[in-house]
Amino acid sequence: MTRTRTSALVAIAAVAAITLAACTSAGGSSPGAGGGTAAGDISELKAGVFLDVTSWDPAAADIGFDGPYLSAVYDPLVALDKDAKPVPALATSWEWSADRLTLTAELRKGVTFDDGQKFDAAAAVANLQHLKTGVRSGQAYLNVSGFTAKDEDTLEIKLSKRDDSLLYFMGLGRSWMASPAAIAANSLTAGPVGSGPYTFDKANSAPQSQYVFTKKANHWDSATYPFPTVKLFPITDQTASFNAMLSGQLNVQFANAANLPKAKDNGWNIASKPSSWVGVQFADRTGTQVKALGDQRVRQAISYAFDSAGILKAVGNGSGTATNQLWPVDGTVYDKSMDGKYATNMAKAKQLLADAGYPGGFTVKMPMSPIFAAWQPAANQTFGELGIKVEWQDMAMPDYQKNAPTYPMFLAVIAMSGNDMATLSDQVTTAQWYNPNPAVDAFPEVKALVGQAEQAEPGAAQTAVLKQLNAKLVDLAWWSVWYQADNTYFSVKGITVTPITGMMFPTLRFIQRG
Amino acid sequence: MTAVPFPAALAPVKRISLGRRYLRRPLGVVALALLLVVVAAAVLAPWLAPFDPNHVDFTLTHAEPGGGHLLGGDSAGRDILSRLLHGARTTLYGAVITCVSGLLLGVPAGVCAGYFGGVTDRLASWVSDALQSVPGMIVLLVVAAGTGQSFPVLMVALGVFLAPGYYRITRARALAVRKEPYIDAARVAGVTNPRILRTHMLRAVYAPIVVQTALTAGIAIGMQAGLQFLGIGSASTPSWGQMMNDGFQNMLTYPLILLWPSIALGITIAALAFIGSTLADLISIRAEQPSRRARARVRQELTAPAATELSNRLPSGEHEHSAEDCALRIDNLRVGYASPSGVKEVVRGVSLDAAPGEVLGIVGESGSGKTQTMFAVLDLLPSGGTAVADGIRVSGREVSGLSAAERAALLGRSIGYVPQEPLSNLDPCYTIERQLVEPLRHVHGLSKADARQRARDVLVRVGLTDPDRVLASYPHQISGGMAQRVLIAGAVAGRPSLLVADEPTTALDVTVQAEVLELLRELQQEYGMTLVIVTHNFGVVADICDRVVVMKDGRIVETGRVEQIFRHPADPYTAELISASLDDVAGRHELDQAWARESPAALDRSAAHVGGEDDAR
Amino acid sequence: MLSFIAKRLLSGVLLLVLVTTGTFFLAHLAIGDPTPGLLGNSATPAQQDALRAKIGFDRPLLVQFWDWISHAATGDFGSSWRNFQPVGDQLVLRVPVTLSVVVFATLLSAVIGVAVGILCGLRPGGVLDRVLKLASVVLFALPGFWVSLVLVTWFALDLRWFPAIGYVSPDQSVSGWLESITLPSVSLALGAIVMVAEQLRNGFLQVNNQDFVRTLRARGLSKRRVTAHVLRNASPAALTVLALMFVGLLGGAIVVEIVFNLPGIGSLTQSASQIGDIPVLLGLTAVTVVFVVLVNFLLDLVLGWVNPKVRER
Repeated sequence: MTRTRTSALVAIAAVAAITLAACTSAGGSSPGAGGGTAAGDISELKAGVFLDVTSWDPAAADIGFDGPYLSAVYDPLVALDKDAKPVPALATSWEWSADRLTLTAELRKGVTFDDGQKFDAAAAVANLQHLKTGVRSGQAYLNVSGFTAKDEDTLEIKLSKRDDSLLYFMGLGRSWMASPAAIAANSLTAGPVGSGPYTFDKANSAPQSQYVFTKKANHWDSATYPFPTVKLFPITDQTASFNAMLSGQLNVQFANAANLPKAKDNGWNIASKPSSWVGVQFADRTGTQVKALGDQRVRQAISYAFDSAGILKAVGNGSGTATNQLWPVDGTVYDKSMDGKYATNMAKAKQLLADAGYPGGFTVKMPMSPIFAAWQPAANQTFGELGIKVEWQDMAMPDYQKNAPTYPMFLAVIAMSGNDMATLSDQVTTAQWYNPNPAVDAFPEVKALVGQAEQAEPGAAQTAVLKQLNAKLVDLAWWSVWYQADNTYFSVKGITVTPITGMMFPTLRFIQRG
Repeated sequence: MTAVPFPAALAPVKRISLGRRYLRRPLGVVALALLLVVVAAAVLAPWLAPFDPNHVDFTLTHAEPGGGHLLGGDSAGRDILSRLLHGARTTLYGAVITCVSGLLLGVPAGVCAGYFGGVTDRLASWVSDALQSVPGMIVLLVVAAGTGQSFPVLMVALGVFLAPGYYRITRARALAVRKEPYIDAARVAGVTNPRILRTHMLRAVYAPIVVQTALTAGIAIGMQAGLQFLGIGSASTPSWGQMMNDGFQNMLTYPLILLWPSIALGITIAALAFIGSTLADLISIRAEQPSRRARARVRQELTAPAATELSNRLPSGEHEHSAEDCALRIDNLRVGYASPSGVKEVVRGVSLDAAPGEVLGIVGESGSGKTQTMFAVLDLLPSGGTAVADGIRVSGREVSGLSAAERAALLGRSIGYVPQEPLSNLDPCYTIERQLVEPLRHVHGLSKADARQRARDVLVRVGLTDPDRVLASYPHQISGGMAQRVLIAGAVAGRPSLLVADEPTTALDVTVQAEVLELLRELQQEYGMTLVIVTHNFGVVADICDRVVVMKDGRIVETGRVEQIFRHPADPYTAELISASLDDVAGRHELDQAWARESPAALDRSAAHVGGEDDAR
Repeated sequence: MLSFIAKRLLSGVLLLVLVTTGTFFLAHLAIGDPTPGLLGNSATPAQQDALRAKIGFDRPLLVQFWDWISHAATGDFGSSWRNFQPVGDQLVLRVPVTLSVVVFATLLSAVIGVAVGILCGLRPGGVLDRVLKLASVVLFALPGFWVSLVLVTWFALDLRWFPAIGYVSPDQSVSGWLESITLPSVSLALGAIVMVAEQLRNGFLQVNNQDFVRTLRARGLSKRRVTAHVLRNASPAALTVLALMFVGLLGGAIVVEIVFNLPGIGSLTQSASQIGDIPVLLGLTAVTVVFVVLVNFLLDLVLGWVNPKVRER
């Protein structure tokens, strides 16, 4: 998944999961302006987004929190539905070749960009080339070798290697179509030029503080966007955000789970979805730095030692699902029956450690950054009880991103994917900062299953292989997942939010009346 | 980062008495006790804390107080009380690092800048100003990012930004002390600079540094918590800032978690602030108006004679004229000040009078009460002073029973006043014109043009040859002699019937002295004023006075006509004074020094001078 | 006068150069290679190289420094390493926000602080004086965000008088602008009011003990007129504190900007330091120092006007 994520976003995911801050005085029991508004007729969407838009240039934008901003002014080639399945947008239909190395898409006719430029296959090719070379967006197109306009509204994408998650990433936020003229002029950083459902009202917007969008009269997908006006407010501080929600300045909010009781008091709608997994990442699972970690029993011992449910309840405000797997708990690969495998058992953990030849435990260095501080006490104590002495190295977040991969293991809060094959590549097979040594080759069974999954027919067959792989990885204690943390959104009565795993904040099509 | 305001003027204080006087302030004692409790908690935390501060027990998560956990559990399931105790360690450790680094940077620099002056001073002050201009938060955040959140390094960086506070206070103090005679004496005696700096200077700056440290520690603790609020700082050791951050996140649902560290932090900072302000009160000249009770006590003590020293409570001096004929008549005047050891009486039963057109001299050493007698007549005693008299008559009118406003109405109209120090008696912020014209317009109701004309005329009359230039000048632009003439002009411009001059020539050059006396005499005769002149110098008396009153220790020892007193001084003290005046011209300074050591009112005044010289920036 | 201005200007420029240079090297020393932080370590080495080339990080440090400072001298602070927007554009957006709040807070503390300081100075030991003393300690001891949160809860959530968050630009709505900066300014001003009042009160008492005050009274001037003289003489200390306050608030309004979600330079400082966006940090430093130099210059002018003696030093 991190081909789509910058490190900053993982940091943010962690921050969000930590539930940074939440408060107003208990006395502030106002009914919530939005709460009292009659359902059905909210004409203005006022959403508090955790972060400011990174860039109006889709190639320089992040996925996580840029979705709502970009989806207001740009149309994607491919969108996602509520199950994160790719659905048509500017591409009205598509077809894979038999070897799944060529994707042919038919494009929507009659769409023009705000500057009058026409959307056609040539424009799409210009956009995709721009995205492929983009410093941030390029990661989605690593396996793509070329784009061609077959005719005015037929696009062909050639792949160098089969990639079953390409459409997912395009739908997630890597196929926003901008005016080819603006791309050529390199003017997108100054302001968006797209074909999206809303016009950016620059006069009434204050960059980095509030963005106002007004609905276009005749957009091809008008029905998907019910609000005449959309206002987006970047608010990082959860206290400020919650106060804004309470005072009626917002009617949708990226929320802190600690405020759930208060949200219920106010009668708000609450939507949650798994977004990140929390646990211990074994960067050195082959034991090159710390020999002990190369032993399956040691990793299992660590998995047995942690009281996942306790940590979830205490540190994670109970907002999530305790599990030892990292395919989303609401997906098809996830196997609930396996969750009991590492039920907390310190005696067993110690036994395993002794069996592996470490009855007295061992010493290990781990990095620590303030945003992971919430989990540190529990981790430190559990390791201590197990006999593993941890020497914590304090560092700031950018340093953590930089240095964590050099440590044999570290605490992890890592964003998850809504697509099963994307999960496979991001969490298992490709090197990422949080997974610096995939080491699939060192585990022949894993390697075989990965190969099978990559070759399998998408659908039930592929899922079946992934389930086997999942079971294998849990058995190997490939990582020690404690729980999957939810992202939570509050909205006033009359607005519902449908969260998508993989998007830190859903795009506007997932915010509807109702 | 903003420095906490600190009184720039400090009175000389002895070390031992500071400690003792501190313990007499209940608020200070309570604050000190609280701080000691916090320090003790920090030191003894490993023994006091009931649990390991990092021990996690999930059942304790967000727990209410009770069940062996006096303050409950935090959001990670740790015992709050234990963390609070251990957190005190971190918090105080950080504060100590910050204060020490600020101290080590600021104090030596300040002492050197104040002592050596010149380039050293300018350079050090520029660096200090520059440090205050640096956006400290940016640097702290960058340092935090770069040093892997190293707590000691951060606290040292914070100390660097707080060093200007130390620097400024030390420099101002050193600057003032440098001018003290004992420093000169030490230099003349060949004591080396480093030694003077070590022994004299550091002793002199000791007290303000203690105050500054109390305040700096408070700021440091607050900043530390602020940085932790922003998510900066080590996560592995318990600290109050981090506990507050934890509580802040759960404030809505579990307010108690935020409450405990907030109380600890608030109490510690408040204790430091109270310690600092109590100390500052003790060593600075924060002229607290004495309470109503203290003033009543003084009044009572002045009026009710103590049985033991009845003879001393009888009026001294005699009246020459009948009450109705007097321009000024004082009957049994007593002036007292409240002091820690009781009431200090500086004027103890003075009676005197002066007829219209008469020139009366009041003579005595410094501390004899002559000036206080004058201030009592003017009703302008320094704060804390109380006057009681059987009667004070001005121009035949009894004024001692009048209200303060009615007494004030006499000033400028019936009574004119010529002060001693010419330059300190002019407002440095206004031109001479403004200072002369203002009373004429607003007290005497002249039009602007008339007032200016009158001011100009008077200036010409007092012998200033270029009145227009003087009018346009600021006080620091004219000489002492000119300034004294301006003050005389100011006093007579309102045509008072009684002119009171307090040592009008003492601060002037010998050559100018005679001219000024001559001027006073001329004006007195020209306007037919009564002139009361306060002096320690019989030479002045001989020059100008008709009659003379000799004072000693707040009482009159002798009254009489000038010739008679000169020829046949009845009191040996008078004879002593006369002979001293004849061969001693410059004994005044030593007398002042001696007086300053004794009188609390004098202390105020001399300290105010020091304050005036201190650089405000 | 001209030489005074020239001297101050020169000293200001020197300060600006020194501080930004110091920050440049400190930031580079502290942050090191920013690309992983900016891009994520998952980026391929080629992508990291591309970013390094794009932001010019592949050049020697001294070359980068010269490049930065020679451009900065012409007012060009380069582009953010994160979103590639010119730093100048961001500052133009951010500075007015912080400036609005800080200037408003300074005005509030000047007006109220002076009033309270005079009242306390006129009656030292009185009720108001004792309240001031207590308030100064309490506000000193209270963590900054407490005050902000209490204000938000009362005035934004309960009474609904002011918005809980956000900033409205004055060219959109002047009343909206005033409403949006009121609570943040008041939270900043509370502490400042107390400090100004304390300083003025102490200065007032100190001046009150000086000889010329007695002489003024001896000339028959009314209490009010004498007070005006005392005030003018006591004002330099209070003005100095106000200037220091302004400087401190300019760089230290981070917590308030976060609690009220104001897009000012404080929140930008925090976010830029977190991701190691050095050009933005340098731009912020430069802008802050320029304001500090300006304020100190103004302070010197005002002090010279208040007390002409200062002018001739």
